[in-house]
Order: sequence, then structure tokens, then C-alpha cells
Amino acid sequence: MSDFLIECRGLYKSYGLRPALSGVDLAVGPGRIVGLLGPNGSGKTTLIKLLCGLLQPTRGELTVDGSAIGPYTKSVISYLPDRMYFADWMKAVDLFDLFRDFYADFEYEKAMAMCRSLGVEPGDRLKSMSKGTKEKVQLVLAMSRAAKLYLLDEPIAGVDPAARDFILRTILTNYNEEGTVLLSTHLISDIEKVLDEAVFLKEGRIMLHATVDDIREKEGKSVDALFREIFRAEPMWEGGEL
Amino acid sequence: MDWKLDDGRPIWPQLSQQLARRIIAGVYPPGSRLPPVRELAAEAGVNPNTMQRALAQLEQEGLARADRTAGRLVTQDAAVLDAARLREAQDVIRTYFEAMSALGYSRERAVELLKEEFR
Amino acid sequence: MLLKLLKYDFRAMWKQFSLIWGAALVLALVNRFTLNTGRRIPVMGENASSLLAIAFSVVLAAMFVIAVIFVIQRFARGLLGSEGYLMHTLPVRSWQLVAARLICGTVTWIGCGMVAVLCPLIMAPVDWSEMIYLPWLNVIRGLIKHPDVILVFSEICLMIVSAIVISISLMYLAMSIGHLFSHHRKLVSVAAFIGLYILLANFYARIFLWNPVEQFIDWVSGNVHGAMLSVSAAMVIPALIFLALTSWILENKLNLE
Repeated sequence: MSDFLIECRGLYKSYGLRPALSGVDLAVGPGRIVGLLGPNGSGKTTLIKLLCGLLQPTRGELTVDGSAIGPYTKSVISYLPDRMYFADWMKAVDLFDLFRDFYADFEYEKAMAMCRSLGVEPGDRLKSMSKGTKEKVQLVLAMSRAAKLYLLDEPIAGVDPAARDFILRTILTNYNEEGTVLLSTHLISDIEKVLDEAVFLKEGRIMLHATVDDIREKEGKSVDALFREIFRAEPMWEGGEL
Repeated sequence: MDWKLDDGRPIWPQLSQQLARRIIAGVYPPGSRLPPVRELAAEAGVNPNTMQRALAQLEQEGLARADRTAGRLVTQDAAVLDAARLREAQDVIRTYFEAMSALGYSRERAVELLKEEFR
Repeated sequence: MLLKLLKYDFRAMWKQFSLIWGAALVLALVNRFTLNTGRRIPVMGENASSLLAIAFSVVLAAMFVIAVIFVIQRFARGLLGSEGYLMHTLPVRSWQLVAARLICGTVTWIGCGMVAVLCPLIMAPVDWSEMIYLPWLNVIRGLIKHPDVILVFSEICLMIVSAIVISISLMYLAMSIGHLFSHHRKLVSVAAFIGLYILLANFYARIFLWNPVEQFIDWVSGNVHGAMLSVSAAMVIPALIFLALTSWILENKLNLE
């Protein structure tokens, strides 16, 4: 067994001819909060989907907690996708039931309590909920598990700054401290203080992987400022900003 | 008291400095229990590991000590508190002189102006 | 895990079909009293009763259409669409996901078939009280004496189930093949369905003309059980191959973008 929770070696993924990841080597230990930072289309979502088994790599090796992606890794990964995944007919409590049935680490009471604190009525039908409320339900589902690895895909995109603080606080106060949180975003300034490590992705490659303190110490500037410097030459990503 | 973090420096020394100031200012009185790491981290909106490191720094400086029953207590040692207070004061003074020098005043002139202020 | 998956599949199915099945049965019951059967005095006018009869046929037709759409949607949206984000991150194997959907779909179609059979029975101008006086005991005694009848009956059921299973597996595989492409997935799925269908028909046409198979069929056909079981097997075996391919695609080629 290695000391790393996530290990990728030579990970390559292409959609048709277009490469989304080209040779990613990454090792992340347990108990860390890691930011997966990059402009839109840099491969953040692809890497997360590979980790949770929604995509299969074209080439390369990938293990989570020492195992290849499969039922075991899925049982220790809590995933917050960048989209809605509910069936219309369900209520939030139906999803809680489902999670309790399938994930041994799901804490039902915690989910109910989190709903109350987020102002979500768990007995309501999902169909009748607003988009923001549905997103809260997904956040509750993801954070009510004592998972080894949390994969949060753009958890603060598309919400106002007040809601961002709220979401970050919910993540910080609820994640399992022995577990690692990997969260992708292009809104770095909002999230920088929360991170242990930053991984910069550019065109499917890792540009930089360092601790936030190291970056600040060595570069004398924030991760956000460094990020802007590295990606300034890219006209594409400014358009992707919110 | 809000947490203020600036961009150019690592986060944990900033946190430990602000925690120290809170202790000196009596926000956390001598002998009292410091809030748990997770709570402090959430309050400041920072990573718990970073807050942990800041608190470890406080222990190093003697301003806080780990308690047997988990958690940390603020020191009751007046000498340690005074030393910390002095360190912070010196920091303020240094900042003053730096700012004055940026305005074009010599050290001596800066001291004089300070004295005039209280006449 | 399969049982847990089935629990949620059946819950979703029941949400959708309880209403349709209920409506069909209720309309059948209403029709029983309104249809001009000669034995009963029509309670309503001619027009109203024929309208009810039309409504009933529409509901019944809709039921079968919905049943087909249900099977397709549960796979296309439920495993290959946005709901797949949930299903494929559950700690289960792909074949379990496929098996659960297949079992639920099969039961749904059987349920629809049973409703379709039950409705005319309800509508038929039979006095139900008379049914009680049928010599049920003799029927049961007769069945025990000739267990063959039960056997033949269950073989017929097996054949029906096999036919449903191969139809659903064909659709699943067609949709999975469509999923392998990055564009025009729906179009490819339809094309794959037609292609697979032609392939299967051709395969049957050829294999049954192949000498050893022909002789084997001649041999088993001498026996009614053998004939029926081999028909079932002829459907179940390709169905299993389709399902294995479907599961393989989901396990190794899943591409939720």
C-alpha cells in the first residue's frame, strides 16, 4: 500500500481525436484539501469523472486508495457532479434512503440536520424545487458521507458570493478530516484560503502542483495572482469566466 | 474582530499572528479554552490544516498549550503574554517608521513628530 | 446490491404505472356497466358508452406505448443520461445495473400484458357470482392428475418471458452501441437496433437451415416440451450475449460527457 490516496500515472484521455488529458501524473495524500485549478476545457471535469468511474481512460494508470476504479473505490468516493442527476419523481428523502442503502458511510441524521440548516424541506418533491435548492440537496448528499475522497466539481460556480461562502463553510465543517477533498474551480480567489494544495491544469497537463503556502512563500504572491500570470496568454479562458 | 489575510504571504503565519493579537487583546482571556480548530477554520474560512499549523505556532511561542482533554488553553503566564505584547508593539513601531520613511521623514524627525503629537 | 437496485427500479416503475394500470382497470369496470351487452340495461346513452369504450382502448394502447418508452428511458436517461451520474457512482457492477433494469422492464411488460388480459375479463358480461360455483375442486384435481398441463403452461410463460427479454436486451445493446459514438447517439442507436434486428433474423434463418441444427430440431420437436424449451433457449442465448455486451460497454466504454 502506498501513502497516497490518489495516484495517476501517464493518464491520457481523448474524446475522439481531441485529447482532454495528455499524460497526467498526480499523487495526492490523505487528509488534504486540494484545488484542481484551470480554465474551462483544461481537463478538470475529465479528471474528476475518470476518478469516479464515469469515464474510462484511454491510456495510463489510475488508483484510488490503492485500488483500480471499481465498486470499492466508488464506495469510498463522494461525488458532487456539475449537473443535476435526479429522477423527477423522487423526493430528497428518497435520495437519502438510496444513499443509506448503498453507502455504508452515509449519515442519515446528518443529512436531515444539514437540510434544516440550509433551509431545504427534505419531504419536498425534487421536481418542484428551484435550481439552487436542488444544488443544495446534492451538496447535502455529498457532504453527509464520511468518505475517503470527496470529488467536488465546480461546487461554487454559478452562485453569488454570499452563497459561495456558505457552500465553502458547509464543506469545511462537514467533510471527514481523514479524507481528502479534491475540488475543481476556476474561481481561485474565493477558494484559495481553503486549500492545502493547488494543482494547475492547462490543456490536459499539470503545470504546477504545490502547497498554497509554498507558492506564497516562493513566489511572494497569491495562488490567484500566479494563476492569472500563467494563464494570461490564453485568450480562451477569459471568456469562460463568469 | 475579523480575519484579514493578505495575498503575498503564506496564510498560516498571518493566522497565528492574528490569534496572538486576540489573546493579547483579551478576546481569548488567559486560562480560557480556545475554540476547536474546525470552528476557527470555518470562522476564518480557511483550511483546518492551516489553522492547525497556526495554533501549533502559538504553542511554540508559549501563548497556548494543549490540554489533556483535547483542545487548547490560553497561557496564564504573564511573562509570556508581556513578551508577546512587546513583540507586537515592536512590530507596530517598525511599521510606523517604515511608513514615515516612505513619506520622506528621517527616523529622528519621525520621533519628534510623535512626541509633538502628545504635547 | 441487486436487490437494492431492484427496490428503486420498482419504485420508479410503480410511480409511473400504478396510475395507468389503475385507469385501465377502472375504465374496464365502467365499460362493463355501460356497454350495450343485451343482458344489462345501458345506464348511459349510446354516445357516452361508445366514448368510454374508445377511452378505454386509448388507455390500453397508451399503456403499451408507455411501456416501451419506459424501458428505453430507464436505460437511455437512467444509465446513459444525467441520472447515470448517480447510478454509475454507486458501488455496484455494471451488470447489476443492467440486470436490475432488465428485470424491472420485463415485469413491467408482463404487468401490462396481464392488465390487457384482465380488462376484457372484467368487461365481459359474466356474472362473477357464478364463478364461485364453478367446479374449482375438479379443475384442481384434474390438474394434479395431469401435471403436464401445468408444465406446458409454465413453458408457455417461459417463452413469453424469453421473448420479452430478448426484445429488451436488443434495445439495450442498440442504445449502448449508440453511446460509443460521440455524435448522433440517438440516430446510431436506432440504426444499431435495425441492424441488430436484421442480424438476428438472418442468424435464425441460417442456423435453422444448418443440418445438425435441423436434425436436432427434428429430434426435439417430437416432444412438445423439447420444442418449447428449445424455442426459449433460442431466444435466451442470444439475449444473454446482448446483455453481456451491454454490460461490457457500460463497464469499459462508459463516456458520460
